[in-house]
Order: sequence, then structure tokens, then C-alpha cells
Amino acid sequence: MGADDRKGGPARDELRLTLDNDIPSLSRASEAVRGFLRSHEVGPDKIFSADLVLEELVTNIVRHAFDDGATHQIAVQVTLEPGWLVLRIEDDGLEFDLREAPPANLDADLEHRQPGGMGIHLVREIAERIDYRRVGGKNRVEVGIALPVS
Amino acid sequence: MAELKIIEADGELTHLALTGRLDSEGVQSVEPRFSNYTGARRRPTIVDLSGLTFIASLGIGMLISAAKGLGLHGVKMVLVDPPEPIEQVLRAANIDRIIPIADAEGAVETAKRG
Repeated sequence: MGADDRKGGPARDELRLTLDNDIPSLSRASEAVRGFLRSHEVGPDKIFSADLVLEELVTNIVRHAFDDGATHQIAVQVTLEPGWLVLRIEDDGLEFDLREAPPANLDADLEHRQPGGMGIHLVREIAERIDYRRVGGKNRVEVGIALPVS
Repeated sequence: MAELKIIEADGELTHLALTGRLDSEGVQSVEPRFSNYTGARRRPTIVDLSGLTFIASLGIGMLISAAKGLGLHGVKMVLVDPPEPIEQVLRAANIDRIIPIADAEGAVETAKRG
């Protein structure tokens, strides 16, 4: 995992990480993000939500975004702004707009239920806002989780 | 990191407990043993989730695969006492419609009901 670059201020704070496209890097990033959010007194339910969004989106990138077997960099940015926790994730993998992914079939009985395909559904359930852009050959996803305004 | 604890695996029930983080890394570490204790024994199975601190879709997928394997033999798996955030994720994925979620007291009866 790459440099941890924190930019502070009275109304906004952010954590930037660069990780390789593998699961151990994701685990280290998750730990860093949880620590960052705890240090900013974000509530445990919102930390859980952010952790789940990070896990689902980066796992999806690690498993599906690349077909060349090479190491790639994934950029993660977590920003706290008034009323919002925002995760921005950028990768140079295959183009994928998660907003257009077909819905998971959650109504099937056990016999017909597929073990996969739930990650994007969970992100959609958690996020109040999901944006996507393809910029310069990169996927740039931004997920907003609403925070209680104190 | 997730951990699989074997509470009982020699009687008419299989009783397991999953603790820690059932994320991508956690699933990689416990899935082979978990599949072995569920699929190979083919007994009604109780999975205590009270010590779980996190679950992601791959963890849910592991539970579905095990429950499906048992279901092919007419045997049920029951999830027990998930902490509230874990239960919310399970319900958001409609898992409670295909795998019963019970408290510890009702789990044995639910699992044996088949």
C-alpha cells in the first residue's frame, strides 16, 4: 500500500491510499480507512458501511477489472465533509459502470440462489449517492454515505 | 481475520462458530474447512455468528454455498445470533429468506426440523 497523505482542515479531511490489485492490499487499506474514520469520531455504523463499500468495490476490481495478470494500482480517497463520507476509487481496468450492472436476483429459493453477485447490491443499499465517470482510461467511482449533521 | 471454531462435529448436529472479519481475506482463510465441516458431514448445522465483526458479499456467498450443499441432502443450516450490523447485511441480501436466522435457544430445534 502506498503513501498515506492526509489533508486536514476545519470542515474537510481526507485520506488517500494507493494499493495493489490484490486482497492483502485491500485488507491493509480497510484497516487504514477504519482507523482514519475512528480518529475522526465517525460512528461505528457508518464505519461499517464505508468498510463494506470499500470491500465490495475493491474486491470487484481485483477479481474482474484486469485480464493481463499484471500488478495495477488502485487509488482510494476517503473524504469527510459536512454531512457526508465520500469514497472515491479509481482503477485503470476494464470499463465498468456499476450503476448499469443488472440487479441481483435475491428472490430465488435456496436451490436456485447464486452465491455471487451481491456486492453491488449491497453498495446500492448502503449508498445515498453513486457517481461514475470514465476518465483518461480509468474508472472513477464516487460513493456518498450520509452522516448525521451535528 | 476470520476464524472457524468447531464446537461440535461428532454428533447428530454440526455446531460451528465464525468469528472476526468475514471479508475477502477471511473467506480465503476459513472456506476450505467450513465447506468440509458442512458439506462432508451432511448433518443439520448451526453456525454461531455472534463473534463476527464484519461480513461482505463473499462471506455471504460462502454461507449460501454451504446451505445449498446441505439442502441437496435435505439438511438445514441455521445462522445464530448475528450482531446487529451483520444481521442487517444478511437481511439486505435476503439471506433470511433462504437460511433461517435464530437465537441460540431456538437454533437446535430449527436445524433439526429439516
